[in-house]
Amino acid sequence: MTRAAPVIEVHGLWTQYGEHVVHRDLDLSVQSGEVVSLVGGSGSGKTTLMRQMLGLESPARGSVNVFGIPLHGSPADTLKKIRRRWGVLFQEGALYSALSVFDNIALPLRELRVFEEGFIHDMVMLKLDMVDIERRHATKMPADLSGGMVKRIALARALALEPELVFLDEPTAGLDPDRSESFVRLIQALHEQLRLTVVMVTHDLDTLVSLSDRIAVLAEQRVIVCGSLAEVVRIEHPFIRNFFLGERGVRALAAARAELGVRELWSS
Amino acid sequence: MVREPGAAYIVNPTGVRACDNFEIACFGEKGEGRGSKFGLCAAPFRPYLALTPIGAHLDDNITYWIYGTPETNRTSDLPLRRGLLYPLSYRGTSDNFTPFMPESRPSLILEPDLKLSVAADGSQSVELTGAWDIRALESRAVSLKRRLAEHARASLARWDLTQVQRLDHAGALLIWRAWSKRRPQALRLNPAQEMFFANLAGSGALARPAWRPDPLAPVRALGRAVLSALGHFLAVAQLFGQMLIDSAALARHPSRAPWREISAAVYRTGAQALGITAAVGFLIGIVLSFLSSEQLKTFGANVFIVNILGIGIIREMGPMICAVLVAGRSGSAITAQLGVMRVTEELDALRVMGIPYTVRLILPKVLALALTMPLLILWTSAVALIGGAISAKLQLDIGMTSFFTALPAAVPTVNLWLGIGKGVVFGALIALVACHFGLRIKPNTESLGAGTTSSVVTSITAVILADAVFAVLFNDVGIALQ
Ligand SMILES: Nc1ncnc2c1ncn2[C@@H]1O[C@H](COP(=O)(O)OP(=O)(O)OP(=O)(O)O)[C@@H](O)[C@H]1O
Ligand SMILES: [Mg+2]
Repeated sequence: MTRAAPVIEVHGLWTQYGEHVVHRDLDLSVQSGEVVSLVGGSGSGKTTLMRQMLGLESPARGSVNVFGIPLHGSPADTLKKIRRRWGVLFQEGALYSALSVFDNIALPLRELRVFEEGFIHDMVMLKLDMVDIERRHATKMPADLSGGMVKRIALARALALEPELVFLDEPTAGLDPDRSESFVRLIQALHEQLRLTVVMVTHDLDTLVSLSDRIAVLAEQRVIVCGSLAEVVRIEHPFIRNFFLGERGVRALAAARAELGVRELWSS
Repeated sequence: MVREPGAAYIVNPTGVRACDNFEIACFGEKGEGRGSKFGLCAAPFRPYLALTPIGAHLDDNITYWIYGTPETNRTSDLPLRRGLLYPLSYRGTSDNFTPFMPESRPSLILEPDLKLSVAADGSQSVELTGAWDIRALESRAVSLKRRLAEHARASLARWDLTQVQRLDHAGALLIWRAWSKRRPQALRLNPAQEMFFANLAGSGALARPAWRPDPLAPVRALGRAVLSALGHFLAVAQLFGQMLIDSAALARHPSRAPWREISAAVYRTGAQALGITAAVGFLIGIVLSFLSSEQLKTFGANVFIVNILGIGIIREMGPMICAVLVAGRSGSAITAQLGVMRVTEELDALRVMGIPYTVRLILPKVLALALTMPLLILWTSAVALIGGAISAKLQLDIGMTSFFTALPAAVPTVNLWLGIGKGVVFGALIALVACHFGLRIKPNTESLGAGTTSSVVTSITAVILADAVFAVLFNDVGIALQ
């Protein structure tokens, strides 16, 4: 039988800052073309896990492979190729403050040194359209943008090189409900059209429910479960109970509830 | 043989030893990949990154194809040089690679290409094939653009994109620009490709204001510079005034003053600067003494070295060296600190809590520098004089004891007070200028760098100007020999 190899494979990962262990023997794999959401309490190590997958932190023990290539110990050339194939949306946007919105998105394209300015200009305009940012904002500096705009422009920059794999750290935090909704639709559309693989950290239940193929729950320094929503809510764990089946959770899951039989599950 | 998951190994197919450059493509259930430029050698090797199809695994049934023209002169590589295909099939163990000739070549993901084909009825159509995505374009954009443009000029042709194996926005945009951003009259697309061109059609241009030459530009620039200098001067004065007003309340409740901040600032700007000021002062003292001694020796006026060094260092050099060092050291630190606090909205957070930042942040720095500067000046002058005395001993054979006993007579005490007074003024000036520039930092990294530079340059300039004022005001004090 053929077994599909994952786009991302984290195996036996330990992350440690001095005495403080963030991840203890953590395993996670992400298949091609799926949307995996990381959830977990504040400080449970979601951002750190994402930084591990990006090769920004080095594991104390264990391995992280992306596109089948180990992030640690591979030659710089190989890593550079991987980095062209993924896009990252950081929690705070991480736009270059000294560059205008336009230049921020144009930077990765210019860095390739093959496209002329006219092409880059059109490409930037296209990406701005994709994330629903008006033209007149293109000349602004990042400091003059609202938090939600920063998020969307950072996404446009992450998508500039047509990545196959996208990391999103809290993409909808700080967006109004309408924008969150359109952000979700945007990711959905990109996912369908471009066969993107998405790894996303989110606290927003609506985003979680509407986008994720699988949900990985981080607690007790590891991934306690990684599966579909239905599988996750069946696990007996205080965090899962509070997160998905608390008042807010149940409200957000209202649509999915009948189908999942969640009420029956927990009342029994 | 060591095997790692996720990597596939290819064993030398037909006795070809090593070739430097040929292409390889592979197919798995999950997708395809292709790449070029790697050595094939007798030892197993890891295929190039782009080769492992996404999702491919060691256990997968992947067919590897090697084809193309290797850059090799070896006779044994001749079949490869002729461009023959070497199909390889990998079936789970690394050793049983059996080369075979397939009946038909599977649909490789090909390089982006276009060609003009003429149908039976004489109508021409431009056919695009292969992968038109950013990774394929990365190395070929320039030549493809040229060829697209050639075909687009012969505008009667029909365009056929149905054979394109992969398309993304970058590829679509390259084609779209060749079409002068219009759909050609006759165009065949796959439904999936529609989206890219629809997106492109909806996307317009960014209107940028046209640049017009301005003959008055130098005059305007000068005017702006003068006004901005005036503006800075007023703003510093205003900041000083605001600080005094905000601090007035502290006079009645001295216990509310930010003592901890003041003491921390004293430590940072004073105690921690002792080493560097001493080192610089000592060297300057030696140099000054050395140069003066050379001159004095020719006139036989050796004893006057005490007067020259005493007046020069205590009155002028000590305060100036100190001011320059402190401006570079503490001034830049203050500007950067306040600048970052402004960027991260910490200043606003203080203000909404009802804590005036003038009292909490600026007052401690001004007070601390006004306090530590005179002390640092005393310290620097003392060390510089010691350096000078050592040099005088070596050069002019004036003993240390006689040097320092002659000093009080040669240098009126008022010079010491003048140096200390300068210290208070310079310290406060440096702190105020540094704070002023820190508060003007805009929330971006460039501004932080520029602000710190202006802060240091301006405070040194301000100190020199203030020194000139001192020189004019006190021109008849403490210089005349008794
Ligand atoms: N550079 C670091 N040095 C020391 N500890 C760190 C470092 N980075 C993260 N940590 C610790 O690791 C833990 C996980 O942090 P992380 O930022 O991954 O949390 P998170 O799950 O993303 O939380 P949130 O939902 O609030 O963003 C925290 O306890 C944090 O203090
Ligand atoms: Mg986080």
